[in-house]
Parts: sequence; C-alpha cells; structure tokens
Amino acid sequence: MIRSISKKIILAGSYGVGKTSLISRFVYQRFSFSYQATLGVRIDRKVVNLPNLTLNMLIWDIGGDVTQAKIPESYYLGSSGTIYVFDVSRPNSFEQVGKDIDLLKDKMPNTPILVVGNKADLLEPNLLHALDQQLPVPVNYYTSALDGTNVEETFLQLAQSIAQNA
Amino acid sequence: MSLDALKLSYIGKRLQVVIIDKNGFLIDTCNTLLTIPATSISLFDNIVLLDSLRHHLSQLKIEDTPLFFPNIEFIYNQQTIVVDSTFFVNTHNESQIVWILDNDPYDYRALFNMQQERNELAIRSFYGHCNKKMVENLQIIDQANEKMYYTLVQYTAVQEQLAQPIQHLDNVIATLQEYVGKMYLRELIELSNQLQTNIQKIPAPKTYRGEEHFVPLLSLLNGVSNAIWVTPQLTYNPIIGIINLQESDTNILLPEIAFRQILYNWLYLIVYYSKSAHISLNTIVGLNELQLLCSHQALNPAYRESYHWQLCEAWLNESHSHINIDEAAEQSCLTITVFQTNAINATPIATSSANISK
Ligand SMILES: Nc1nc2c(ncn2[C@@H]2O[C@H](COP(=O)(O)OP(=O)(O)O)[C@@H](O)[C@H]2O)c(=O)[nH]1
Ligand SMILES: [Mg+2]
Repeated sequence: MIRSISKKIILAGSYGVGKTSLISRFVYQRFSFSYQATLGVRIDRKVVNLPNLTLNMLIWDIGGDVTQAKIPESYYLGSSGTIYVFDVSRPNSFEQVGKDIDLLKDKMPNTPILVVGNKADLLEPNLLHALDQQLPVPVNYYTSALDGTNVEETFLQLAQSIAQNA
Repeated sequence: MSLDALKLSYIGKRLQVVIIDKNGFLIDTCNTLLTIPATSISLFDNIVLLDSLRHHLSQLKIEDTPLFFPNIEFIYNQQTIVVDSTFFVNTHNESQIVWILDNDPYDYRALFNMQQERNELAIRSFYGHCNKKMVENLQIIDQANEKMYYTLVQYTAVQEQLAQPIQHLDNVIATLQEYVGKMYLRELIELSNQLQTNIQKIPAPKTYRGEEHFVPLLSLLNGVSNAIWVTPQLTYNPIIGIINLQESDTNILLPEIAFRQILYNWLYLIVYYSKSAHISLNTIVGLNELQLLCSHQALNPAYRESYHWQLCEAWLNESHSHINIDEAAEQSCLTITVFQTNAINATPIATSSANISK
C-alpha cells in the first residue's frame, strides 16, 4: 500500500510577488489579474502523488515580508519546506533575497528551500538571463502564475525533496 | 477546566473553545464560529490548520507556552474562516488540548483595508516608474498599427490580382462564400442585439453636439471612409473598398464630432446591410443644406428596422435634418441642415461624388 503523509510547506516573499497566484495556479488551475492582499496566513491543501508516497501538501501562504517582525515565529513551526518567491520585474522584491534566505534557513534548519523568480512572463529571456547572473543566490525556477510555466515543476520538486527527507 | 469555565475566562469576546485529544478527536466544542459535528474522524484529517500542526499538537506539554497563530484563513465546510488560534494543554487534564478560535470581523476588515491600501500604493508607485516605458511601447504599437494598415491596403491589391487565376476554383469560392455568409448572419444578430442593449442604455434623447466650426468636407469624408474601411466587422463583407472623393474643397459650419459620428453610422450600416459590390456617394452642398446621396443595391430589410434611426434621431430632429431611403431607386439620402457654408460668393451648389467599390 502506498504510504500517505501530511506535510506543511510555506510560501514566503514580499507582498505582490505572486505567492497567492502561484498557489491558486497549482491548487485550482486558476489565475486572476486582480490583486487582493493576503492577510495573515491562508492555508490550502493539495494532494501530490509521488511514486511510493502520497503527499498531502498543506500550503501556508504567508502574506508579508519574511523579515517583517510582524510574522509570528509560530507560522514557521513544523514546516517541511519553503518556496521563497520574488518578482523578477520588481527589483525591491529581490534586493533582500540573500538576507531573507539566511533568515529562513535559520528559522527552519535542515528543510529544503526553493528560490523562485515569478512573473517571468513579464521579462524578455535575455533580461531574465542578465538578472539571473546578478542574484546572490541560485534561483531554482523562473515561474509564471499567469501562463503556468514551471509552477507544477516547482511544487513537485519541493514534494520530492520532502519525500526524501521523510 | 471545563469548556464552560474556559469560555468564562474569555468573557465578552466572540470566540469558540474546542477541546480535542492528542489524536485530534473531538471532546467538546461550543460551536460559536464553526459547527464541528462529533464524528469518528480525527479533526487532524478534517481541518487543514490542525492537519498542518498535528505533529506539534500531539507533542504539546503542559509547561509549553501556548501556540498562537494570528489571522489564519482556511476553508472548513466550504466556508472561508479567518481566526486567531491559540493552542495549549488543558491544565486540568494533560491528555486534552484546548483550541481557542477568536474572530473579530471588524478588526479583521480594518486591518485588511490598511494592508490592501499600503500594498496597492507600493505596487502603484512601482508602476509609475513603468509608465514612461509604457508610453514608449504605445508609440511602438501605433507604428505597428500604421504599418499593418498599409500592409492591408497592399494585400487587397494583391488579392485583386490573384482573383483572375483562381476563378476555376469556383467550388472553393462558393464554400468560402457560404461560410462568410454565415459569419455575416451571426454578426448581424450580434450587432442588432448589441444595438438593442445600447439603445436601452441611452437616456432621453439628448445628444451632445459639440462645438460648431468650419469643417473641410473632403477630408472629413475621406476620414470617415477610411474608418469604415478598417472596421473589423466589415472586413468579412466583400463589398468593402475605398471611397474615392472627387476634388471638392468646401467648408461647412457644423458640429464636427456629431456629424462625423452620424455619417459613420449611416455609411457603416449601408455598407453592412447592402449586398451590392458597388456603392457611390454624392454630396450636394447648398447654402444651408448638405445632402449626401448614397446609391447602393439590395439593401437588406434589416437595415430599415435597425436602431440606426434612433441612434441619430436626437441630432436629426434638433437640426431638422433627415434620412430617406428610396428603395426603388436604391438610394439613401442623408440631408443635414447647416448654418453656413463658406461658399458665400462661390457657386451655391457644389457637387462631389465618391465611390465605395470592391
Ligand atoms: N504578469 C504576471 N502577473 C502575476 C503573476 N503572478 C501574480 N501576478 C499578479 O501580481 C499581483 C500580486 O499577486 P498575488 O498572488 O496576490 O501576490 P502575493 O501578495 O505574493 O500573494 C496580482 O495582481 C497578480 O495578478 C505572473 O506570473 N505574471
Ligand atoms: Mg497573497
């Protein structure tokens, strides 16, 4: 019988970068242009089928900046993995990326963190390439919640990393 | 501590107390916010928030500081709930966990609005930087549009040349025409529906006629004919072509925008509803009157019933202008009363004609 487990994951990153949109693309296959701020945390669930494991992903959408003192420590509690999102078209969303990743690693040691540049649809490939060269941390995926590029891949990659740890 | 006792300690607040065991099975609830029925299923499997925390909750000890999760939004029974959640071990029974759900919709709304405003502002100021870029992009788009227009003109010319060698492909053309015909019908229905709703939206007849000034007739007619020519709805129609106006340099005193609109509507509908391949437009300029005569063939009866009249009605009435259709002569006439033409001491009547041809 295939084993089934529940794991909490976190989406972190500055506001407006597309965390909520990535989740709604992944969980509900939907995208909306309208912006609605996420207050506090929103929790969604998606079942991911891996070869030997059914992973019940509990996705915590943390509204607000990682470094914001407002985010209570408890939000990070029991998380098995993180997707850190920035907006490739908005420099102030990735100015802090190095610092933010350090902070997340500190709060959740030994859990996988994926770095994702979202809204890739807004940037030309060569600009995206130039940006990639400049960033202080390696980026795992460039995604677009709008057209779906690499969204499934990002979540599945994290699911696999979690499954290996489990 | 019993549920009632726990509730008492938070008196005055709208909150719910739920007591579960360490495996998530329900022991008691006051159901103030959520109705949690007693089931044989663990709430860990039922409520996504608890599912995320199952490991921690089952290990929670009496001496631990309560776990506090402000503003958690989750879906339970198809209902979105926003609550502050607090978890701690029941001081009187270590095998039980107390879950306090606190929800203050007013606080929540206020906070939400503040955050939404702040974030939108930040996003907007970013877009402000982008605006300059956007203006540049718009200019590029304009240029591209212009180029496309000229390409279209060339394309029609090429099509004409192609028409000769492909005449033996009669069947193909017939099929295509049938297809175009159907598209045309669909368009027609759509348009009349659209017009109908548009009409309903129009308030009591009161049109803004705009400022009156001397308008050069030739360039105005040319402008309107060009506009008709590039109207997307008309590109299906095989009769579309260019209006060639003969030289006529008359200026007429009238409200340009309103006149342009009426002229456009009038010609648009004739072109749209006429099956003829050839339409000609003649203008007769009198001292206080401008007459536009449009000859065409086989005007679809739908045109008469169209709401075009109503669209123009207010302006036409007010200015004592009118539209006539002479079906026998296959001719429509739009007569516009104007106050003055600049042909003061020139010939009282200047005639010019235009052709819309395939
Ligand atoms: N073009 C584009 N816009 C996106 C993308 N993802 C999100 N957005 C837009 O960015 C805005 C903020 O998205 P949201 O998911 O609410 O961001 P969050 O604050 O990080 O949750 C919304 O207006 C979205 O429509 C994307 O991949 N491409
Ligand atoms: Mg959000």
